[in-house]
Amino acid sequence: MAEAVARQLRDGVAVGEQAPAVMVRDTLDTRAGPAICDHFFSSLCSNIEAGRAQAKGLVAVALRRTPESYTAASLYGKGNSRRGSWLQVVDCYTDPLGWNCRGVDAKNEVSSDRADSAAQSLICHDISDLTGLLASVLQSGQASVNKQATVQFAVLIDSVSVLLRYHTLPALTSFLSSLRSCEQVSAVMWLVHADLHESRVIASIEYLSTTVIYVEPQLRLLSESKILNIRRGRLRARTKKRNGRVREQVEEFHIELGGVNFTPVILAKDLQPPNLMKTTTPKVQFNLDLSEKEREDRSRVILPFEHQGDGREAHIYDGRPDTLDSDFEKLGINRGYAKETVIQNIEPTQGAVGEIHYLRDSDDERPDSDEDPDDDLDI
Amino acid sequence: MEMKSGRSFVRKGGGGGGGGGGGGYLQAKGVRPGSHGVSLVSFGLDDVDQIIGGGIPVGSLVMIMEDNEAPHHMLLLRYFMAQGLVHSQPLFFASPLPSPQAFLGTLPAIASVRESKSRSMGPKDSSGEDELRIAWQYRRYLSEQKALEERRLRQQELTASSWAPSSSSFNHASTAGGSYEFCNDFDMRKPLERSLLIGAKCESFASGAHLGGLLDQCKDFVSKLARPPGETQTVGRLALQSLCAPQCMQTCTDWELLAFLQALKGIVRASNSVAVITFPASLLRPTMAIRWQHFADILLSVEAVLDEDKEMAGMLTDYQEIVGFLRVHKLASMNTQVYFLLLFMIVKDCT
Repeated sequence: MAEAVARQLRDGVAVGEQAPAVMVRDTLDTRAGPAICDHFFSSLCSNIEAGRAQAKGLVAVALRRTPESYTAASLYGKGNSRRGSWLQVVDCYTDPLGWNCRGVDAKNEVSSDRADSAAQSLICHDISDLTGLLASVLQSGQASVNKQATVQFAVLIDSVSVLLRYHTLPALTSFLSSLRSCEQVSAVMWLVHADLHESRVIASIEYLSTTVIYVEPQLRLLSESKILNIRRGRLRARTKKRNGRVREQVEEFHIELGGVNFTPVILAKDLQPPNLMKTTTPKVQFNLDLSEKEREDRSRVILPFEHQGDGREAHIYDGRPDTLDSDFEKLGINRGYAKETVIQNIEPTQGAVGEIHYLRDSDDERPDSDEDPDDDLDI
Repeated sequence: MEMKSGRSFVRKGGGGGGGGGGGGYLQAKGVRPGSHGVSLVSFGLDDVDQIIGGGIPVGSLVMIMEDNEAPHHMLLLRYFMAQGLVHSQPLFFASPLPSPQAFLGTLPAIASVRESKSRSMGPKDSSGEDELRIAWQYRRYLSEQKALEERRLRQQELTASSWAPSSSSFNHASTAGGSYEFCNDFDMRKPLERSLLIGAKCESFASGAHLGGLLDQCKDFVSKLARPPGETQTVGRLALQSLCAPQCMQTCTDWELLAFLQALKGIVRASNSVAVITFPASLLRPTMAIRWQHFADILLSVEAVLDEDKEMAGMLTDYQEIVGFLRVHKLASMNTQVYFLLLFMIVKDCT
């Protein structure tokens, strides 16, 4: 599941659509959101370096950590020393409110705004200006792909929660959606701390994302001490698919020195998946369907009604010793009835296994008492 | 006809009387009389029409609550708009999409006649006498009922206007201009003919909704629908998509949107038009969301379906074809005190 999300970030945007947006949300119970974010960040970096990703550059908007933590060696101590210029950082951490520039005249302010070439980061001095921030992001993106207009880059916003401190929800949503609809942006990822904001705010940001990753504490460790929760937890990823369905996957993760390990989790409801039944009949001891042979036999059973509507009368065994009839049958002579119907000789058909034994309630009933009782009224 | 002769009183205010508002039923293409003196307009989907009581009453407001994760409200809007254009009813469409005209290109075309006929065929007639074996005495009633249905059908096709509702032939209406279907079958795979798109007017609020201007446009649209009595009337359709989406909320506050809704409801009620508004309810404050829901005459909501949900796959036999759920919260009760509440319906995606 983590690979599926990493693949989504790697594959990027299809033509004519907005860039896919992955949202990582965590709460106080598990503080592992940043670690998960870093995991996806480093996997995207390795994909970009190897050339497997659609994006050829990456812009990290650093709001929560120093820019060096992104450009430095891989966070887990392996790999080469520095990342190339395909990674650019918009530094909103060092001086977001412009305190360092206050009192300095305009000329110096302009010069300090220029990109710091050695550290490949662009310092943003005014975080309350979202259009300026958008422009800086796009400018860094251009720099990361060496100013080629057709090549795309990915964007990572380290913490949208920090942005929400300074901006209202409509402004932020317009910033995020304009970032997504920019042609050169291939994929966007952001981190939000869900318990810092109203549910409506979180819902609006989820509305804009294609995948939402819920970082949750492990179910069984909730009662134990919270210390263990930093290292372990559960990930639940909900992805919006094109056909309108939502795919939800759950995995457990374990943060170690070398990185984050994901182990798939078997949910209780998946342990015993209900059988895919063709009909909604409940499972019972006996079989309610008929086999082919049984169907055939059923069609051959003669029903114990005198009239089948065919104009014939079925003569059935009714439990009474009818000596007269049996004698006549032995002789093969048909006895005529008042209604002038033809007696049908019942012979067991070949292979018929069904028989109906019909015993009359009382011997007083005349043979045709099933008919309308008003028939014999003579008014 | 046999049915009319049995009645002891005759309904007033029908036929060629004054159109629009007030007493009579509307005589317009795509409009049929409903109960309680209301004229109905089709939603575009036969099943939805049946669920909401025959169609959308003219002058009512339909609101659809969107799901954050699934775009099914667009599907419903497509059917609604396509039905209006097929009946040459003027359409006004406003959306936060950057180009609503492009969305109009995705409207479905009418399904070919052969396909739609096969769907409207009744249940398999039990031909042959050996269908009923145990209840063989009822065979003679079956054939009588079939003959009765056929006679009724033939009579309704011959007369100019149909007054008696009967389940099988209700769909077929005939006006002076020839017969047409009240609710068409649409084929999502084919786009609607370009010539029919002329009657559609679009508005985009991708850069924020300017409610004053939007309201004026709606008023303009609706005032053009008015016709002097005696002429055939037209019913207009308004479709507003994702009205409280984040893009719209940039330029207006919650309360301004509510005032806009109130004004719109008044406009729609006083004219020959029908409005469908979709909105993502979870993006509003809870108190605001409740207020929006109270504005609706017909309130629906769509929900997404989880993919590969084994529990649901076991419960529903056609799980693979379902893409979402349609829930009906409120139905229109115009000119009546009776209030319907249906709880849960499942919608199958027919594409």
